[in-house]
Amino acid sequence: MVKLVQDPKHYIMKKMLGVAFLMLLLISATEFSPPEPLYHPSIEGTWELVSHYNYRDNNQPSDTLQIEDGYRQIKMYYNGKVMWTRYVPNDSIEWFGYGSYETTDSTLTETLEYMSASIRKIASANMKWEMELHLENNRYSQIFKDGDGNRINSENYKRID
Amino acid sequence: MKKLLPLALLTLILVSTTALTSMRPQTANSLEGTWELINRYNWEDGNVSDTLPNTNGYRQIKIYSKGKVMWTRHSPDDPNEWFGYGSYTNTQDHLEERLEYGSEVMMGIQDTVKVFKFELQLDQNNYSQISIDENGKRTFSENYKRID
Repeated sequence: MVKLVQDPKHYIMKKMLGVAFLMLLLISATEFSPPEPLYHPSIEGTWELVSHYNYRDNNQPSDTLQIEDGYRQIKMYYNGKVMWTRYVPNDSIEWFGYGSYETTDSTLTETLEYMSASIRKIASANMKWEMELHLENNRYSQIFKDGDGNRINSENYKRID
Repeated sequence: MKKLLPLALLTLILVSTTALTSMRPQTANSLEGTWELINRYNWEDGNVSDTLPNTNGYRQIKIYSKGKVMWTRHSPDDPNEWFGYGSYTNTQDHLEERLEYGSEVMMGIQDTVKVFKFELQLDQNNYSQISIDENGKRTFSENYKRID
């Protein structure tokens, strides 16, 4: 008697095993794939000022000004709204602002709705601030520019949430 | 083949439900976001005795995000400036805020109060923080609506 090359039952079992294996693979792959990482870093969150830069003619930082002890400036961005406050020990001048913001890859525009009296004195009529933006996952810089597009100074923040 | 079909179907169902579950949004209401004060209540004997509306351009806004809270007040009639920043924790009916810094007047208050504890009433688009006296009675509340 000639032996069958392959028993049909055996053949189906093998196929099913393959499918079951595929099933397992698919399920586990779905289960364990981490939440999609953000392709771009997001400005949403809470940030604390760590330093300022001054810029010179060549658009390079010429000075780094570290934050003094006890001084704190924190900014929160959430879903199109921005708020920031500053605490300076033994200083009776109060600084804060609230408004909306928009970002692109390289620009940050904030339009304030209200602010402390000290900020109102230096605000433009439309209360809009247009800045250059350097954004990474855990730090960002907002750079102020003059009318000719030259960098003047920057505020540099680190993420604290 | 007939045996394989239900298997394939089962695979599809399992895979798609796994994918769906991981995308399901949180069902509990969250305090995260931007909120604006709409009015305040005075409470007496468990009931609201007074409603105090905002007047003359008065605005107070709070942002809660990932354990951090900041609030500022725009009050043209008040020579003092009001703001605060700190951390918070909450359950569905309890809110606790710890001030890290604030405006000069807030720092004065902070000398006596370090942790601000409130009863919390939280919906998707409204929330109230209710101050409770030492006898557990409601005294005063700030009522906010979501604006983000």
